Amino acid sequence: MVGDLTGALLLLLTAMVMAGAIPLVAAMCQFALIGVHGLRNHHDRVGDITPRTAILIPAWNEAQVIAATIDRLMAMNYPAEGLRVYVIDDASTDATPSVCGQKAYQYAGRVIHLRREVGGQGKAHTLNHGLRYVLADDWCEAVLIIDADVIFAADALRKMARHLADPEVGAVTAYIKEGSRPANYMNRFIGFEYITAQAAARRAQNVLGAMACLAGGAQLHSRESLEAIGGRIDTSSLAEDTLTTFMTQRAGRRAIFEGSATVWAEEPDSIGGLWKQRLRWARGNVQVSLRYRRVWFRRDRDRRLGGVSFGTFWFTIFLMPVFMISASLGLTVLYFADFPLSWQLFRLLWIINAVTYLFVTLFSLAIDPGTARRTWVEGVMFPGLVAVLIILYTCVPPVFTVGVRDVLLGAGVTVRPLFAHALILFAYVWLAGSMLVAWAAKRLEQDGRWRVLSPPLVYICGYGPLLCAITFAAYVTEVRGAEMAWEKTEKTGKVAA
Amino acid sequence: MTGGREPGPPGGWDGEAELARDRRVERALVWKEAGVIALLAVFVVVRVLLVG
Repeated sequence: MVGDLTGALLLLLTAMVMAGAIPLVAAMCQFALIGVHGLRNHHDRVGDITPRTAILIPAWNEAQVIAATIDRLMAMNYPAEGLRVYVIDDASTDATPSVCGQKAYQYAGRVIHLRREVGGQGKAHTLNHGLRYVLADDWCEAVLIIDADVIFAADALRKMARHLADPEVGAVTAYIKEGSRPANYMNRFIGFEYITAQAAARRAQNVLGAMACLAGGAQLHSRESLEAIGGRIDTSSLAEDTLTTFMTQRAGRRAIFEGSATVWAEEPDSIGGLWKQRLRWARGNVQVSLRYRRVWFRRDRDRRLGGVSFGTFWFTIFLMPVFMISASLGLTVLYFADFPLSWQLFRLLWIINAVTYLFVTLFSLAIDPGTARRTWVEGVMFPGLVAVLIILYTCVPPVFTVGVRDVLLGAGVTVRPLFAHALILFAYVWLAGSMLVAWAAKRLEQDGRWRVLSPPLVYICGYGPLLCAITFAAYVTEVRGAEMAWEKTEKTGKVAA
Repeated sequence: MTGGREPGPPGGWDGEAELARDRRVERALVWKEAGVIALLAVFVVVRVLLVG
């Protein structure tokens, strides 16, 4: 009886540890699909069309960035008579109204300034104000929803629009690149993240036929598709872009990612800014996950969103903190219950981690060499210095078991067994502990005296664990039922495309 | 979709050529992926031979 219980407990702990491998295997599968995108796509159904497009820009206090955005939109390679820009001014209190007024005068009939006298309800409400206006006019054949700070490459809209020639496609998104110049460490981490999360993951989603999210800063909808979802953006979630993406696909049309359409955006340059932005995104994802609970893994309910592959990719990201905590907890308990088993599982988990890390990092750098040249250090350090050292140990143990030991012995330092075991225990708890260190880095950044230590700490704990810590914070915030405040990401107009 | 097919501003836009170029970029990802997998395979073999 006791033996059965022990066996069951060991099995449970083993499963907990190996749960840590689920997101790794899922990431490898997702990246493996990217190559397929070159062979399996809908390119034979696209056409060089230029639908009359209304560009909606929700704007609240965007005086610093809105003029440059409008100028770049007006200079796009797109028929002038087929393009109108609607700035939906959400009761701005800065110079946004006067800047928009100047642009409306400069581009008479092509730039329209719509003013809301009472604002602050969030982006979805602001967009709906504009949608009511543009959909009331038969002129509009497509709607491009963008952010006030984004800079479109001259050919971006044209490359997006060609997908609407396929009647199955309802919406198209572009490749958002981090465009801040000068870029600090956080901008570069985000720059690399966007290769993996957009250029890579969204190509895989194209292959699957199910898109997780049309980027809020660049989403082109056909009029028919928008009208099919009610002609408005759902206001019940903080992730209005994800919700719109899901609704578009639930209404029977495809959402497509166009990797060669480039849009530059200014992203947060601090942990605090990132935390605020991503907490909103992650809370939105919690809401979307719950809202579509009857669709996940139910292909009979929705052949796109209900697919096993898509559901697995979605939930491995969404539940990443759970997997990390599970693996660390399992390893730590096994350390005391059955050390040899814990060591074997630790090695296995980190071998899978090492292979995934090498595959994902190398392939990401190859997908977008231009961004890779600026962000390769952050790409290498994405999981954090400690994780990279564990990966190095997993790949080439003699570096540590012989090389480092000899160096220490040469310096007259003897590695005592107690120290070695403390090191092992540290490595066991690191998957979960890295999130705690990421949270500490955020707290340090808020403290004026120790702020300087915050960036190095992110390199040590990793940007990936920082994102996991934010996701974990989103669970807590949702469970506590905190108010859904729309907190705008501050933009300063430092995008240089 | 009833959008026009007028050419863009001066400077020209050859939609077919652009699409062909983008398709080549997408197909190149197949080879990039194969290259990364081959590199990983070599690494694993070397690691097994050297470290065991």
